[in-house]
Amino acid sequence: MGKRLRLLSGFLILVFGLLMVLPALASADTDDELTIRGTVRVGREVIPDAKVIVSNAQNIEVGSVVTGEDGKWEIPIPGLGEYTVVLAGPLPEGVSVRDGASDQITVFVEEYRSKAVGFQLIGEDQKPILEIRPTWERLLNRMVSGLKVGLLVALASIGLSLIFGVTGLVNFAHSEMVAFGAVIALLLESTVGLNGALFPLAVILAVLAGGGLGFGLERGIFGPLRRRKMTNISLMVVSIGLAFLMRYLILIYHGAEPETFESFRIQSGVSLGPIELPAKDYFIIGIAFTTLLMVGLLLQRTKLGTSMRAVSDNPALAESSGIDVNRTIMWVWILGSALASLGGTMIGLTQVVEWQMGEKILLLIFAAVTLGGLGTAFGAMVGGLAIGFASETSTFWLDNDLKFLIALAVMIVILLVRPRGILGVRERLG
Amino acid sequence: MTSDNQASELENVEAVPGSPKQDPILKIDNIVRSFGGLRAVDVDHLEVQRGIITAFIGPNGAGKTTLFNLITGFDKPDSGKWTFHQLSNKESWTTNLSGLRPHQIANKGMVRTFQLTKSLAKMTVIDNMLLGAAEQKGESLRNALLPSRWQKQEKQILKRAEDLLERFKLSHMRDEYAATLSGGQRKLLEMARALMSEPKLILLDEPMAGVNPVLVESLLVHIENLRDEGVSVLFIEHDMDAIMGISDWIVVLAEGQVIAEGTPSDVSKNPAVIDAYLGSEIAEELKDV
Amino acid sequence: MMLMNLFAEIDVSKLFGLALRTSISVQAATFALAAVGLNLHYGYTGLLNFGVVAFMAAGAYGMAIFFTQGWLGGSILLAIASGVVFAVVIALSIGLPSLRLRADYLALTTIAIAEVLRISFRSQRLLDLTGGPFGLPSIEDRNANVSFADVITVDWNPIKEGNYGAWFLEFDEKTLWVMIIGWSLVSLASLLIWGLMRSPWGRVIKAIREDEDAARALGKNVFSYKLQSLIIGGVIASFAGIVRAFDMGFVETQQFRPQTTFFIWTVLILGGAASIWGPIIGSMTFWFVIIFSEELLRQMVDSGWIPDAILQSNDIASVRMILMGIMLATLMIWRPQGLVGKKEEAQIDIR
Ligand SMILES: Nc1ncnc2c1ncn2[C@@H]1O[C@H](COP(=O)(O)OP(=O)(O)OP(=O)(O)O)[C@@H](O)[C@H]1O
Ligand SMILES: [Mg+2]
Repeated sequence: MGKRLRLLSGFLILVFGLLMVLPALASADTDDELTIRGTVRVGREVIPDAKVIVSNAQNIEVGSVVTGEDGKWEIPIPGLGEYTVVLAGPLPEGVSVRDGASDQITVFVEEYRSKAVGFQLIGEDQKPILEIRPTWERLLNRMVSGLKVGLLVALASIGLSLIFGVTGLVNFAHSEMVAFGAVIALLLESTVGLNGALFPLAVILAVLAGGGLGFGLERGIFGPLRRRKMTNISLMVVSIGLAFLMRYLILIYHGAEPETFESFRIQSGVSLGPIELPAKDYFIIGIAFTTLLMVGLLLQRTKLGTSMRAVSDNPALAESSGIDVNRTIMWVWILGSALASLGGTMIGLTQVVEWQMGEKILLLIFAAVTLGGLGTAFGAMVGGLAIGFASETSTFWLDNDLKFLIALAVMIVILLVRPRGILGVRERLG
Repeated sequence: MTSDNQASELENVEAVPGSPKQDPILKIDNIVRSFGGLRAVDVDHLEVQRGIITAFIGPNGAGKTTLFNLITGFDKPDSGKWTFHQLSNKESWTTNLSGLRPHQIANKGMVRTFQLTKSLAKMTVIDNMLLGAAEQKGESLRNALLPSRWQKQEKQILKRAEDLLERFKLSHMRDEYAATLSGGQRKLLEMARALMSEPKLILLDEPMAGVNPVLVESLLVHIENLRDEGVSVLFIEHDMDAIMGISDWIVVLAEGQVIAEGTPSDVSKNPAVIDAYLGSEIAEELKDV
Repeated sequence: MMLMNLFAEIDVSKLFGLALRTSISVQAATFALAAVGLNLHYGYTGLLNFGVVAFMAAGAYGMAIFFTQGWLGGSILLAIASGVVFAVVIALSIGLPSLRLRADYLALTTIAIAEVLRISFRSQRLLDLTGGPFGLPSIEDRNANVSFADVITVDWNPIKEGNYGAWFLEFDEKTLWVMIIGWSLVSLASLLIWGLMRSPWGRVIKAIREDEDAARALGKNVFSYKLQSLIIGGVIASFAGIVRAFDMGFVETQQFRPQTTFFIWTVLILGGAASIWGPIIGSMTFWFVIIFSEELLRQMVDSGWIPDAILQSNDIASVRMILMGIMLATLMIWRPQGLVGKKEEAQIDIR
């Protein structure tokens, strides 16, 4: 048994080990109602009897309430998602919304936790209330959570990049693997009962299922079509069709409501120096990081990894030097899809499991992969980290709804400045 | 097989790399292109004589195609300058070509074909031909919707296209999709299409590769006819018989550099050329000439 | 026996009626119009534009913003013109930097730019201009039934108030008027494309689709032609957005999610890319098939023919998307030329 193999299995054991700790972190869920709440105030003074309305993304009112004596209001919402809160008033004489602020605020409720919303009001004779100063601690926390998101995007991106590398296909259905993994794990947890101590098993099975799905797609669809000499552009369109098929099948059989893994619903933060995160997040970072290391090792140090890189580099040359190209492609599909599934379960663990997960992460993955250079696994890792980190950290300064813009802007700029990707080479013209 | 007065001017030209020509149509200076560490093209000076057939030869990977790509604007050199010299009514003028984009260079009268044919597969043979014509009124958006503005010109172009198809023995394929042509026929079509634009200088990248021997004969005749009609021809070829048969001047490239030039007989005697091809069959062929 | 039972439960008249109604609806007209634009981009020029929806959004929002802001007196014709201008600006800002990209990179860039546009329109920061997540016109106007569409559908409507037609094909004067506008625009745009594609200009465009280097070598300014194609197709698609806005009476970012782009792709592939009739036949067939199967499923679910465990009636909206996905994938594999396209011109191998 070689040294490398021992190292690899060491990491494998580490990942499993980490997974085993997960159940210990499960916390009993308090059955709190999900609400949006706040206090309408100007300076120190609270404003009673003002009407607040909450409507959902379809502009349908989900509830309204009048502030109490203490200026407080709270409106229950049906689930996670996007809501708009409108301060309908009336406001006392002389009180108005501060310049540059609005009486309509859109919020994204991403966690099972009451969401606080504040309107920025000023009185006639009052200076605007100073906003809470962003402290370096808050920034640090954002950055750590950026690291987490980055690692997860990296996990989800590798497969897309590797598949492009070995086949030339831009697979639009890849992000649905992310949703698939999360939904399978959720199904196993809630329906089959792999919760609590058995939860790691749910994750492992979901990852295996993801790998199996990748195998099925290559075996059943993309392999045969490639051998029929269909062009990659046509195959890309096929993959778009497939993405819709998968996404809406998930919608039908999982439902429209976002859900969370029951055992990990609400968690209070655990402090580590200035950093405060839910306990599960530390482990998610650990698992994602170790897995990425393993993948790196696999690519660099094993025979399979070498042939993956060789096929990616030059399929014809790889073929002639005795590498079984089709078998390599098959393993790339399996590995890439399994990693995407793992990424999906982890994303489900920190946020929610919902049918739109794939759609939401798709452009992040594309951005990551183009940033790193289409076709290289390490590029995808670096790109994923950078994109996830940048977009998540940006919410410290920017509105939450603009965080995708960061990722998309990076992607567009990279495509324009270095269209062949950071590590890509120019094609020959003869 | 040198012909007519143009070629006779070559008698006074020294057979050394970069030698000046009496009436050059193209001059290239200090052109360099590297791929990573590899200097694919590195030519100090090269002149191409007007009105004759010049052949580029050299071993595989010598940089012939790359040089074509550079001077036609399809690839950017690291450095270099090249100029086009035109002549009409005894007046001559010089156009700088370096830095121009491919279509601009083509519109100056320097048109190329490709080593790997680029026939427009999902267009008919005749449409392929019509596309080749330069300065078509109907190609601008302003006129496109007003057939009266371009129909007359279109008829003339059509006539010319049909004549050329006739000459290249492709008339029977007129309305077929180009995809249905054989490899050799595509080479012919690509050359005929390039001729539609009535170029001053035509650059052919391995026009005979993949064409059957019977067609090669007629292709060679076409090329000679072109020269006799006043078109300058620059072509890359590996087929030694063809090269020795029709070219008036030969430029030899190896490892990106011009190592020799001269008439066919000069070149076949040049030891540097034999060296460059050492061990290959072509070296043997050269000795036979 | 079972089968007879099924037929007794199915309302065949409604099934065909609804499907037919949708296949000639404004909805179908706008999809056909957008597909005509995409056809020029993809079918003829070979541009993989995955951001069709950006042009529609530009048209609709350009028009709606101009009108609701009351700029230059708030004339609706100027508003429409500004929607079109906005689409041209989008075409230029997509085209100038990215038309040199490889086909699949262009696809990624266009989809990203479309999303950037949509997210920006949705942003709180543009609330006063775009209405943010609420869209335009504002909630108050909408509650009071005031819309930018009124000038077109009421003031300028030559059709007398009332209902026209019969059976499921009965339309009120507003719908009928917008339908007429929509399908007229489809005919006009198709005629335009037909005229362009039979000209030498069209020949260059097709050559670019086949091999842009060959076109370059023959002296054609490929970049300029691509830009022209992008602008013309984009303007056509922007009219799709505008007509749709008149039909619905409001604009909202939800209408411009990436999936709309892929609906239009499906319409085009179904009808047949690089053919004049493709977008029209494609859109009508697409909507017929979608509504027919949705309605059939709905009736089968309601009558208990399909057990709840398999499908519930509120899942049926998703079936539309699944059908779209299946159509897109299978057409691409087995019938890339669609219903009326030429087989020889169908296989895509743009690089
Ligand atoms: N885009 C490219 N990237 C990297 N290397 C390149 C590229 N294009 C050409 N080369 C290298 O430059 C050298 C010259 O290639 P070129 O195609 O010009 O040769 P050639 O003389 O045309 O050969 P042949 O007779 O085989 O056609 C070769 O070593 C080739 O590998
Ligand atoms: Mg070559």
